[in-house]
Amino acid sequence: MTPEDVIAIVSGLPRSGTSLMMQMLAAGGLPALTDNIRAADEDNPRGYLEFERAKQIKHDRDWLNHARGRVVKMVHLLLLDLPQDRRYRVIFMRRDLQEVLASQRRMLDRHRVTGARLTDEALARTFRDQMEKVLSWLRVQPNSELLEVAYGDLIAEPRQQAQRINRFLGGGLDEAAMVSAVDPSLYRNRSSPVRQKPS
Amino acid sequence: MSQRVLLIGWDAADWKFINPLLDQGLMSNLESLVNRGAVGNLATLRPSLSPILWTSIATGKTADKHGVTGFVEPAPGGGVRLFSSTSRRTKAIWNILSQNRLRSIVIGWYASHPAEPILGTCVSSSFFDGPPADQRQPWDVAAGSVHPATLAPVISHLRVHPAELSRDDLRRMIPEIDQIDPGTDARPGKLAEALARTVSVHSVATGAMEAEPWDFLAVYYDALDVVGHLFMPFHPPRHPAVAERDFQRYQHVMRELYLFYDQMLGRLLQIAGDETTVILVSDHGFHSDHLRPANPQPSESEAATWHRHYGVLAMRGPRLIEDERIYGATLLDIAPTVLTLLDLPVGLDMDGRPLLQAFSDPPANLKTVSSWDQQPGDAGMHPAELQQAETESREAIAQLVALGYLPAETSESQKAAEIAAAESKFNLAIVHSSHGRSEQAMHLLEELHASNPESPRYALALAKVCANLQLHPRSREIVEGLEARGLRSAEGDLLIGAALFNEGRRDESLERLEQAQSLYPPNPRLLGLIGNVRLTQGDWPRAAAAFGDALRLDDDDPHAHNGLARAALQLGDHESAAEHALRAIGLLYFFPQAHYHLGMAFKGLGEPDRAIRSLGIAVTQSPGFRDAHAELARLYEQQNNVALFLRHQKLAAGMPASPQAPGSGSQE
Repeated sequence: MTPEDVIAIVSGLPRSGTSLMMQMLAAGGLPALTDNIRAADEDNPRGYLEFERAKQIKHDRDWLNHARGRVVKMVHLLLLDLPQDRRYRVIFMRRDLQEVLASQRRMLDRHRVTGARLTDEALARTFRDQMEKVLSWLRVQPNSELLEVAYGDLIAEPRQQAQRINRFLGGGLDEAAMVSAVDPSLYRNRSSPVRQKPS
Repeated sequence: MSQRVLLIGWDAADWKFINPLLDQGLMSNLESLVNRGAVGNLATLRPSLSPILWTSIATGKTADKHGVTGFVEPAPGGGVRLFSSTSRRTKAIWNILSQNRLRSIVIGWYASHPAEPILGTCVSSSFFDGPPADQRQPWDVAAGSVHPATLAPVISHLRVHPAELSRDDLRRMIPEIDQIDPGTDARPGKLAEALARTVSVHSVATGAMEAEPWDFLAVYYDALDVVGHLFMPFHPPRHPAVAERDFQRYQHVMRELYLFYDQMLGRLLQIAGDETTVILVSDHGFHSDHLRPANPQPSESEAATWHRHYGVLAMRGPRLIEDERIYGATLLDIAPTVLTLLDLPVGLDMDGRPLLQAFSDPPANLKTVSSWDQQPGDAGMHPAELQQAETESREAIAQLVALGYLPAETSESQKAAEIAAAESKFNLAIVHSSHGRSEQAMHLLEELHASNPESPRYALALAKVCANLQLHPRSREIVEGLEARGLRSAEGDLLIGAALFNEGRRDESLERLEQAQSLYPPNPRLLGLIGNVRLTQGDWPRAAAAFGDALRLDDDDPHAHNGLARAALQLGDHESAAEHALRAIGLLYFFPQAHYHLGMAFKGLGEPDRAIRSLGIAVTQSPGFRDAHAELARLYEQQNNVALFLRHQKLAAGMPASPQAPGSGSQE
C-alpha cells in the first residue's frame, strides 16, 4: 500500500509516549490530524497533537476520510472500533507500567480529577490485559500492520528508532528531524536510570 | 439405566390457555405428560421478570442470593448490557451436576451468556441472537456463546434465519398474511423472528440430545412470552381497545403457537424416552381472558402486568406418581427437586424444597448439604476473577475518561446505566418485600424515592412496604403526595383504605374503597380488601359478597378464597368454608390462616381428625397462632388426649391474640 492510502495511527496507554511519537512523525514530515483542542501544558509542553473526533470512532467515522496519508493518535481501546474498510499502520507505544501509572497519577492530580479506585497492581494488571487483547486482535487483522515501540528505546536510541519507524511507514520521512524532536529532558517519571523494556 | 432429567422451560405458559386446548384434544403430547404424571400450578415470584425467574428456577434461590436482578445491568464500558452468567453469584443445577461428574446440556437459558465451562454442553442465549438483516450475510457466532467452543461451527447451521420462514409457514397463525404489507405492519415480521428463534433453539436441543451423552438437559423457549406480549391482546374475545381488523387478522396466533409448542414437546419426549424424568415449567402465567390489562400496548415497565401469578408444572418419570395434582409448588422448588431426582443433596441455603409429594416413594431421609457454594470442586463456573476483572475494567476505563483519552459516556448511555441500576435496586426491594423482609425493602425504596421523587412506581412500592410495616401515616403521606400531583390510582386507593382502617377510621376506609370501585375497572384486590374490612366489621354477608365478586373476576386468588372461607364459617356454611379453604391452600400452601379455616370447617362438619390435621399444619406454619392452639386443645380434650390438650392449652395461654387486620392480601 502507498503512504497515501494508509492511515497511520499512534496508539498505546495514556502517558506511554504517544504525544512524543506524534511530534516525531510531524517533525519528520507526516502531517498529523489534529484540532489543537487540548493545548500544550506541563504534562505535554510540546502539545498533545490530538483529534477530538477520534474518540467518537464508534459512532463517527466520517473523519477517517480526512486521515488518509496522515497520522492520528488514538488510545488503545479505540483501535477495536476501527472499521475494516480502510488500511492502517499502527505504531503502538510500550512503556514500563509503573512509569505510566505514575505519570497518569500526576496528570490526574494536576487537573484535580479522580482516577480509578484500584490499587496500582490491579490497574496495571487491567491495562496489561487490555493491551494484550488489543494487540492480539491487531496482529490478526488483514488490513492493519503493527509496530511496537518502546518508549525507553526511543529516548535512548532515537536514530535507530527513527530508521525503524520510517521503514515501517514506507519511507519518505526526514529521520534527522524526527531525532531532533526527541528531547531526553522530557523523560520524566523514569522508574530507573537503566533503559526499561516494555512490560 | 442411569436416571436422567429433562427440564423444559416454556416461558409464560398458562393452564388457563392450555386446558381448553387439552379438552379439545389438540395438545396430545402435553396430554400424555399430564395423564402420566403429576401436575399443578407453579407460583411465580415477585418481581415477575424472566431473567430473575429463570435464574431462580435454575438455582432454587431468590434474586438477592443469585444476583440477577433484572434484564440489564450497567456495562463495564458504559451503557448497559444484559445480565450475564458472570452476574450470577451462586451455582445453578448444571454447576452442581458438573461438580458431581454428571453431564448437562443447557440450551438457550436466560442469563446464560457467556456459556459456562460445565461438564457437558452449554449454548448460551446469545448464540441465537443477531441474525443479519440480509440473510445472505454470515451470521456470526457470539464469542463465548458455545461450550465447548469446538461445537460452534457444528451447530451454527442449525439456526434458522427469520427470512427462511415463508408466508406459508406463517399462514396457520395469520390466515390473511398475504393481505398484510410488511412495510406498514411489522407484526408478522416480529412473529417470524420469534418463531425462527424457537425453531433454532429446538433444533440445537434435539440435536444435542441425540448426539451427546447427558444426565440433565435444560432447554428454554421464550416465544409464548415474546409473542404473547405482541399478540395476546388479539386473542378472543376481542378487547374493546383492539381494532376489528387486527382482531380478525391475529386472533389465531396464540392458539396455533401453543399447538406448535405441543409438536415440539412430542419430539423432545420421543428422544428422551420413558425412563427420563420430564419436568415442564413456566415462570409465570399470562392473562388471556377478562383479566388482560386494559391497555393492550403497555409500556415496558407495565409489561409484567400481563403476567399471571401461576405458571405450569407437569412432571412425569419412573420415580413419580401418576395422574396426580401437586399443590403449593413454587419456582424455587424446581432445582431442589431435580437434585433429589438425581440423588444429590439439596442445599440448605436454597429457598425452595423438593416436591416430595410428587414422588411415588419419597426418600426416607432427604440428603442435604449446608451450601453447594461452599463445596470445593470444579463446578464449571466462570472464574471469580472474570467478574472481578469486569469491575476493574470499569474502573480502568473511568481513569481513561478522566484523563481525557476516552469520551465521557454519552448522556443517553449514562442515563441508561442509571436507570438499569435503579431498576435492579427496585427489583431487589420487591424480592425482599415479597419474602417478608419489609425493612430491607423499605431501606432500598427510600433511597430510590429520594433520588427519583417523580417516579410513582417507586413511591407506591414504598407506600406499600410502609403499610406492611404498619407505618400507615407514612404510607398515606406518600400516596396523598402522588394524588396532589394528579396521580391517583387503584393501588393508591387500596393503600389509603388500609391506612384509614388501621387508624380506626373504618367508615372512611370503606367509603374510600367503595368510591375506588366506581372509578376503576373491576379489581379483585380492591374487592378483597373491601371483603376484609367487612369481616372486621362482622358484616359476614357483605364480606362474602365482596369475596365472591373478587373470585368471579379471578378464581385463582387464594386470599379471596380464604376470606370467603372465613365468612362462610361465620354464616355456618361449613361445606362452603371447607371448599374455599381447600382452594386457598391449593393455590398457596404456606397459608396458616387458610389451614386454620379448613380445620374449623372440618370441626363444624363433625370430622375432628381432619380438623386436628389441618390445625396442626396451621401451627406448624405459624407456631404463634394462638387461636389454632386453642382449638387444638379443645379437640384433644374431646378425644381425652390429656397430654396434647395440656400442651396446646399452655401454648395458647402464653400467646397474644391473633390479629385480624385487613391488608391487600400479599406481602408486597
